[in-house]
Amino acid sequence: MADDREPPPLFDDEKPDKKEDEDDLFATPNEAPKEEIKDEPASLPTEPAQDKASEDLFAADDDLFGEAVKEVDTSKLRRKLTEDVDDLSPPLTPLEEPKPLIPTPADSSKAPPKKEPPKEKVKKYSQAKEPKPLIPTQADSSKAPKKDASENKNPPPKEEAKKKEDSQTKEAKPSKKEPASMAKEQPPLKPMKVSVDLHPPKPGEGEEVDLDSPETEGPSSPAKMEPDSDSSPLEAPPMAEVLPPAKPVIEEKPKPTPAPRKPSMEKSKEEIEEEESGDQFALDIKVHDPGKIGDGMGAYMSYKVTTQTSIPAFRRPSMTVTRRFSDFLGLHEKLSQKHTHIGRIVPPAPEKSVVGMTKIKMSKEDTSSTEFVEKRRALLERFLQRISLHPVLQMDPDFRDFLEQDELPRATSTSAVSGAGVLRLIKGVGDTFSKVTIKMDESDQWFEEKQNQVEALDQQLKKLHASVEALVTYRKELGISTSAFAKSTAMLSNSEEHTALSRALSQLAEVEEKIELVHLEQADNDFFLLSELLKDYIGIIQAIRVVFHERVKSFHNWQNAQQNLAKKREQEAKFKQTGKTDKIAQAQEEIREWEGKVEKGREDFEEISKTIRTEIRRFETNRVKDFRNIIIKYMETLMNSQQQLIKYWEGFLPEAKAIA
Amino acid sequence: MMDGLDDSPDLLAEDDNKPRTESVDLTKDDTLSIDISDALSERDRVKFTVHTKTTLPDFRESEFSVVRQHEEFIWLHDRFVENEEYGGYIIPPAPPRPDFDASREKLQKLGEGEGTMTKEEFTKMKQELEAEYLATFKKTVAMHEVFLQRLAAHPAFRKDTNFRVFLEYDQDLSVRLKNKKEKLGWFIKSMSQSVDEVLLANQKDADEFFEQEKGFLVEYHNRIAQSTKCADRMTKMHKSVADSYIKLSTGLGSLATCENTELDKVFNKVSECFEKSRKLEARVSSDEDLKLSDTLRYYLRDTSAAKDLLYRRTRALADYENANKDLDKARAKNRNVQQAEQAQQRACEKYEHLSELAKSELQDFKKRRVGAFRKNLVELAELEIKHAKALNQLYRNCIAQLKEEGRGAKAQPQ
Repeated sequence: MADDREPPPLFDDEKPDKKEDEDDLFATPNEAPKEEIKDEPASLPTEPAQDKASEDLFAADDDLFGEAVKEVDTSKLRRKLTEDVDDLSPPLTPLEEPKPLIPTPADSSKAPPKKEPPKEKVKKYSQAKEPKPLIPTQADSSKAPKKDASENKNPPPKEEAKKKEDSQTKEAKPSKKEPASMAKEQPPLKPMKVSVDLHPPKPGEGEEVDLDSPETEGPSSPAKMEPDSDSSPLEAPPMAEVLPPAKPVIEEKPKPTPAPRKPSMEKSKEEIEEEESGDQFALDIKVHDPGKIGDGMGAYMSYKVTTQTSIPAFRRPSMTVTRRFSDFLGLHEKLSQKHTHIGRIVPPAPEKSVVGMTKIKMSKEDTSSTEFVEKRRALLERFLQRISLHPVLQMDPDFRDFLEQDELPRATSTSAVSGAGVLRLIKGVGDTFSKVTIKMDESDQWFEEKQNQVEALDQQLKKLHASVEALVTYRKELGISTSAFAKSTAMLSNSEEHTALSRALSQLAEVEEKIELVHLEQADNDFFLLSELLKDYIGIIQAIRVVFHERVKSFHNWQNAQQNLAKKREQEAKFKQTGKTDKIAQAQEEIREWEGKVEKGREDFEEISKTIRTEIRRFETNRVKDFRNIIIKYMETLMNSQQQLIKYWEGFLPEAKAIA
Repeated sequence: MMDGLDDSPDLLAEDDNKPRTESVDLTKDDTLSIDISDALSERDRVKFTVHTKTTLPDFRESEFSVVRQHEEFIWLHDRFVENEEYGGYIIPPAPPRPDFDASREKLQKLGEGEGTMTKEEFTKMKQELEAEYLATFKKTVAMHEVFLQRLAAHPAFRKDTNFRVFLEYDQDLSVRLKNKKEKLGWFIKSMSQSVDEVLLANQKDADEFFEQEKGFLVEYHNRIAQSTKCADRMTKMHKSVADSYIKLSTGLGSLATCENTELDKVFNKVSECFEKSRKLEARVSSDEDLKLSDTLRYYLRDTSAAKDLLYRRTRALADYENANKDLDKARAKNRNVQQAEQAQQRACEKYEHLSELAKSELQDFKKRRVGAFRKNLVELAELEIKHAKALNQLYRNCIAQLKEEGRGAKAQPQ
């Protein structure tokens, strides 16, 4: 009866002909992947028993974030999520430059009418046409209604067409209801935006990394690289020796298979060594049992750090120490002092949070502070794990002390208000200043490209991070509103006089309560898996920037030395010309000195460039691994949420049917 | 393990041809069937084509259509409310005014924020709003239709003259909006009713059934109002979650374009997956709205109509008792006894008539409510299961592809 209505196109461009698109959504679960695995045709993608490789993916996962997730799952946190909502960026925060899009030809016709969308147009409405959220295609809009009519069998196309005519003629309005004409009438309200990709993707960069830099630091470099580790001079040599024997020590837990990769790769020996040392030393670090020590403003949080290792350099295979937050900062400080200037990417330490800490100091058992502590605990754990995965940093005596020593000298320099803090601040300002002033004509194309890539990546990650934060906020809100609905439904069921309906409503309330938990749990997963992953990498990129800058500084030093050398030579030439022989000897002395400095500067620069190449390659390898693993894990949480929903609603269905 | 795959191609396809609110389960009766065959949205009004098919002799023709506007529906509703004859019936609640302001406002806001998002995001957001607008429009039409259908199904209302005129008269009924005076009058009337309700709150009711119903309806009304509000908020938040998938999807997409490792495939896959899942999540939200919120909303209004009925009955009871007192007084003074007797007689009849009708109406109301809730809750559960299965499948496929791809990438030398 009501089937001959026609929908009022809010805009003319909405055409329900995207069907094919949707149809193949689930149609090809097997096909696509199959093509990719020619060597393993036996295993289907959805085989319940996943094969080795995928298991390994998860194993690697567990190393990094498994603990964090497990911790989060505990329900005690669930209800506490709300508090921090305001910390998150608001939905729809303006993002940076629009990203590269391929403007479709259809764009011009569907340029958005900004004001009074449906008002002046007469709308048609049809029961048969569904309000599909469709991507308007450029299909001729005038054709579309017909197409639609034939798609939906309910109204015979003719009849529909007639109906439309009828109503149109009946109306005898100036407004033509033909969508096509509307398209023309509606002026595009904003000029089309042609977005330009500032950072065009550089294909094939990945391979380049491996090919053009076989000159990585050999196994001896760790020792060489730590001339200033004076705190434990004895440790350095053994470390280098330790490398080979440690290799066979295979960890207890499965690691992301280096095995299949190794033989196929034709990398330099150094590279393999380096990667192996990263992969095969078992250093399993957990941060747990956060506790508040003391009261009032002097209070601080302490964490237990438990390490299990097969690295012989450690005195015991397993140890637990208690560390406070500033110790972590201190560790970061020490590591970056030692490693940053020679081009190593030191994983960023978590930021101090005055707000978060003050809350903890002030309140006894606050929900938001529990949330805060858990976030921070996970963050610290990832920080240590990232260090432990680094072949050089994991061997750093300071890192080992941090994991091993019962007592650490108090890290004083990390306090924000201490003298060291001020110094750091000044240095930071100086760095920023020099970043602006020191320019370097990049002669090395590899670096230029990498820098551009890293910048582009940073921008995209930040944008995505903001989106994920918004998602977390919304999902939490959804959980909260679901809970409110559950409560109100329970009330309603109380006053419903019909017994069966009352029962069904109270069941519905129970289901919604469970769903609330599903939403909140998912919001946790959104946050701890996706959002934190992005945030971590935004931090690491910052560290990469610093390293890049160190290279620029090193280049600058070298250039300065060269300039000075040139000056000295000029001077010497002058002396020779003017016959001031007495000064020539001194000048020559100076020249020799500066020659040495130039040589040192060149060496330093080459060294840092080399190290950075290695570091970037490592960064990219890890990033691929990290993202892949965590994204898969995250998708699995999404899937699990849906499975729970299925279960709950299937439980409810018979209750609803029982209403009589 | 691939359960639910058989129908997977259709999982995203449109499910129900009638995504309308069906808050009332109306038994189909061929003698008078009404539907809204067409609706046109103009600048600030909606024109409904009301199509009637009937075998009743009261009508001149067996099939005809007229064009009506929302105001005319309201006019019709008011005629029923004002007619004392119908005092014993629950007057079907009037349809809500077509309100697309929210959609328009959002669209405008979107237009303003255009510069802050990518073209792709903007297009998708716009589509979402269009879909939302369309859904609102359909719902509005459905509410108007349900109003007429309930009138048509009612044994007393269907014979009403005004109703017949509304259906048959092919000209403009030239109802205008209430002018200021009328509005004021209406306001005073509703005020006095509320005051009266308070005054009558202490009215003793001999009839236990009504006493109980009254208590029930008052409480029920409050709670269903709360539930409706919460359900609305819930569906709205669900929509926001679905919409935030848009940004996630485009964000991952553009991340893939600047990616220099094999991660671009991962990002593209996940981006694609979110694009699909946001459609499904949006569907979940709109189905919840349709099946849950709308049912609640309709019975919120129906409960209110039932409360009005009870008020009228209590009023009649009070009148009856007053008439009794008057009669007693008149008898004591032996003056105007006959007059008083007649008045008392009339009040008594009115009261009894009202009570009788009200009883069966309230029972009908309960039956109607239970039926509608059953139907919609079952459908809600089925749709939720369906969508969750679709999403589950979607994620499952995506994970399988990611793993497969990962294996492929590992097998290849870098």
